[in-house]
Amino acid sequence: MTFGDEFPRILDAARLGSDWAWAALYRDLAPVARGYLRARGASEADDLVGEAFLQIVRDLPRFDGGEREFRAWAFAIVHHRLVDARRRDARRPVHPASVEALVRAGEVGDVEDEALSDLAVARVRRLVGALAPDQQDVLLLRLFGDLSVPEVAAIVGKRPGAVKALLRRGLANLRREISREGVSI
Amino acid sequence: MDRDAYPDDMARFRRLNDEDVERLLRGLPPRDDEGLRDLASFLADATASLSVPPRSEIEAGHLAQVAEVIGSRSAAERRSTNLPSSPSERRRATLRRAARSTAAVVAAAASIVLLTGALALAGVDLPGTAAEAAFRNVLGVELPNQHRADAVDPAKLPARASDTAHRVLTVIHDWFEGADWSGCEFGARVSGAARGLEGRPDTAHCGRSEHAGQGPQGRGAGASGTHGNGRETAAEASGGASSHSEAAGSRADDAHDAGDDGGSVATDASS
Repeated sequence: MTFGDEFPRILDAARLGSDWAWAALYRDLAPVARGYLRARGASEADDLVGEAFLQIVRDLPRFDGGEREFRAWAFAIVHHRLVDARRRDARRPVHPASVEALVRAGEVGDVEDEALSDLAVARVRRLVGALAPDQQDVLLLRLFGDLSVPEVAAIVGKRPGAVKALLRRGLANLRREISREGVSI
Repeated sequence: MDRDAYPDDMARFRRLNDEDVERLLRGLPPRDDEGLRDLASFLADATASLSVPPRSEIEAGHLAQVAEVIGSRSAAERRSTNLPSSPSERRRATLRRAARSTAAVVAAAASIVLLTGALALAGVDLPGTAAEAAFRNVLGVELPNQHRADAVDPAKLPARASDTAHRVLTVIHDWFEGADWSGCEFGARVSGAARGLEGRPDTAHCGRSEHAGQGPQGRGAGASGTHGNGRETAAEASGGASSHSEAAGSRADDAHDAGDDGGSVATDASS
């Protein structure tokens, strides 16, 4: 765990509204939450991270537990924000421009430029995106959230045995996609 | 499309124990399966390449929103702690609220009374419906119908009331009961009663063509109609002296015949 013995003090300070405590929690969780959301293909990962943190702030008075539980709880919020966003997008579909269209458009902003140049991120999205959605959920929550099987099971609403099976199938399918590609990252 | 791996690969992954899976997720191949090193490397690279913090301006924006939520929550908590907690404090607060409500009602009632009095002093005559609406809307009080015949029942006069008052009120009562008089006749009868004249009053100057047989209920709907009749009667009886009555002007010819007699009668009746 990141904070270890310091975590109770940080959490108490966060409950009292201390800026430094919230900054510490944010810097610990935001990168991995953002990684999870980007790997799941969320179009507005930063916005979802912000929304998730606002909910964490609002719901913290009801939270009880240590660092491990806090991380699982926070990832549950992040995951549910992603699900909500997916539903929202399904109601109001957005059709992003293709890569070719963006390149043809000439000058692009920093964010798009970074995204297009980051081939590693694009590859992860492509390979992980080939998995079934529930396999993606289980694999990426385990990978980015560093969550246990029971913790993931609680978030996705499945039994631990089903989560284990989904994880193994997801890993097997990911391996198949990598071997098809024939090139390592 | 078949989204699952080949059957051989699936069997390979089903054989992995929990420790092997943990190793893969940490970027290490299982102990007895070096062939999965490519998968382990991919997972490690994926974690590293995607788990990057948001840009500094985005982080600053998120933390500012967090601080804003905390600030608003703290303000709400402060407000809630200011509420009275003990039973005696709650009772006192309730009494204070009740006293404030009572004071507001009393002030509203006093305002209406003062306003009505001020209007009366200023010579402004509010239509009855307006006054009733004010009482009903502001105080929630329904005024009794002041145009009912029993409201002018002579039998309800106090014992010390004069004979003149009895006679005048009897005429008015009869009028409300539907006597077959025109407004002019009614005025003449009132003036006659006020002067103590016996017998049928002189109504020769009253035209029988208008308003005859209608009585107060037939003259108009509700308070304003009857009020208008009173003005007409006063105008007729006073010989057109009532300056603010439209009826006074319209019936000036009738009133002119009444002459000084009618004017003095009206004065006597109103006193």
